[in-house]
Amino acid sequence: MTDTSERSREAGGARTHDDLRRRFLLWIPAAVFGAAAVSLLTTAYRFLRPRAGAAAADADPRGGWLAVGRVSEMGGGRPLRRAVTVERRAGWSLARREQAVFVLPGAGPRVVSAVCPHEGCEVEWDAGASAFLCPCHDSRFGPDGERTAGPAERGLARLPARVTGDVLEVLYEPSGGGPDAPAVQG
Amino acid sequence: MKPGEGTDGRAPLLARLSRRTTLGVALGNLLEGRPGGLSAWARTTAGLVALLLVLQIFSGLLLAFYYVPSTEAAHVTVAFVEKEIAGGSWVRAIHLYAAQLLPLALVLHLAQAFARGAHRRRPFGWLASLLLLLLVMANGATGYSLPLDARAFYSTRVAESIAGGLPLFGGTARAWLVGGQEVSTLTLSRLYALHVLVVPALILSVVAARLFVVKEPAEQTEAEPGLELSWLPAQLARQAVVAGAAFAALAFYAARFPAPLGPPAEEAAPGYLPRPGAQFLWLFQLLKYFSTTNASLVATLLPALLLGALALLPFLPERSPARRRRMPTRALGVAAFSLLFLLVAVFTTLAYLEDRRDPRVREQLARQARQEEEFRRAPFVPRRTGGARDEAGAAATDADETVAASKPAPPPEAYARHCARCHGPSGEGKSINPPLVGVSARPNRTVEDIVAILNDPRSYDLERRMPSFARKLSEEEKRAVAEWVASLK
Repeated sequence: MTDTSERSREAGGARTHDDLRRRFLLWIPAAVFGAAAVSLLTTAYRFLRPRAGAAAADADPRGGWLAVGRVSEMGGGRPLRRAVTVERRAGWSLARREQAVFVLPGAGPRVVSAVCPHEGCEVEWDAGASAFLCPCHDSRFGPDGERTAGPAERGLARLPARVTGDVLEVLYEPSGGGPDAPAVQG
Repeated sequence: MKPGEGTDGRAPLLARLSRRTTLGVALGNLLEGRPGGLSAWARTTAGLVALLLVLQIFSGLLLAFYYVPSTEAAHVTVAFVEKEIAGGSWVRAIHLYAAQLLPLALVLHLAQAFARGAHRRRPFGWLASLLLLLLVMANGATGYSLPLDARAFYSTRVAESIAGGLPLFGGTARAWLVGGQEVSTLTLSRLYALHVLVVPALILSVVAARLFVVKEPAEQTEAEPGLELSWLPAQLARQAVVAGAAFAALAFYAARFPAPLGPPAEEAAPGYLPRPGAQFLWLFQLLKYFSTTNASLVATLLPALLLGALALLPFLPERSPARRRRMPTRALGVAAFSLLFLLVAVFTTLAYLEDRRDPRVREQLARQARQEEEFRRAPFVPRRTGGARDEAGAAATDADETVAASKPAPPPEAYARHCARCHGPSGEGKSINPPLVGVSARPNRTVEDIVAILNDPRSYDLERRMPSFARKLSEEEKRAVAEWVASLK
């Protein structure tokens, strides 16, 4: 059949039929490539799509409440830095990570996250200035965690807290989209 | 562009693209002159090879988004892709089956080129195909080790032994392959680097050189200068039909039959029978007949000789210039191809037949298939990572005790990873494997005894055989498992 097209070209006429045929023939590879590309790209999209939210570790016996420490060992007039161990599931890995919190002085359990609501750095308590200072962009927070200066738009995130027996517990839900949702989430 | 040029026998878009880009060169190199009749269909093996290579790169890229090359994480990441990721099982199946089909497609490609005499006209294309055959086999071998299930483990073991059995430099070759004195997590990183970077880079270089760098004469250069490729749409259509049909078949097959993945290598029961991928069955069978050193020589020299003979073909004269007698060049090529086909066909068949003949082997292989199926159905268990667990604050530990006292403690992570498969997630036992609950009430089952059982199960005369965990668990993990087991009342 290629011979026919060749001859017709040499003859210089009757091109239309061959042109049509060739154009039609080009639709075959185009359709095959198109179909293959669509199926592969769909697969890639489904395969790579990140899962919504960071799932907490399965079967948490305490329903997300994390121990901060014994109430009887806390006290004094200044915020106490404590670490809670947060367990998160990320795909195939179940990772434990330490997350700093501050137990505020005063009556009733009051706990704030140490994550600066500006860009996610970890604030420190400056006893001299009697304020929380963010080491990254100089945001400042008062002893109650409220913002006093700097680029942060709000105070340190207050975590739900309760006392069970002698143990202070907090609910740490960093992925909830709350103000303390850190920029880097493990 | 002159008016009317677009309509003079070519598809305008293709012509325009060809003029502006290297597409024309690539197509010319790939399609190699005007084909006709049967030869036109025979040449679609090029499209087949291209399709499989594209699928390998595509599926390999996707898998690389999740896979982690370490003995700690390799298996769990592959299991995660298989069980949890949308389309993961399909992508992995495509990767495995395309890898097994690639050597076949390349051999067919070489055979049809040889039959048409194209290897003499276009020696570079011929050598490129041979090189690709070697490289895709190398990538099949390195890739087989990566999932770190039992079959992967033994594949690594055999590759290591083949390298080690070579005369003179065997020890060096082995050490370079495994990255040390024994197979370790370094071996996995090495094989991974070879599998995803080194070999694919070489494959792509060969393909690029074949398509874009070396320009080899087509069959009818004079008759059709430049891009007067009036036959091109027809040939492209043929390639697309064959490649499209192959893709559809492969896609359905991969959806129906997932790639095999067994439980982690360390859980392999005694008596496990490892079997290689289909493209290596002939070698597997062949190695049954040779001792270590000879086996290494056979495994390296035999392919080298065959591929070497084929590589020389385009350069051997077909007629002796002096006496104008026909040289047996063609016969050499026919012999090399026949030997290749015979070798692969005979030994692959033998491998299948031997496995079917012995009832014990047949049962064991069926048992392994069942275990793989069971593992596939079992829910995915994430792997605990990160070091925070050891440094967890003392306060948290105290609190753990106060809260946990009422319920049975959750099993240590090492238990979930190694023991739960046979003894059940809470030590309740599973099918014929004994429960662990209440075991500490029996004689000789103190925490020390349980640690000793983990180290050397045989010394305790257990009613069921149990593999040793002496090297699979750290001392701390053994202690943690033993204490937890002893606490089960």
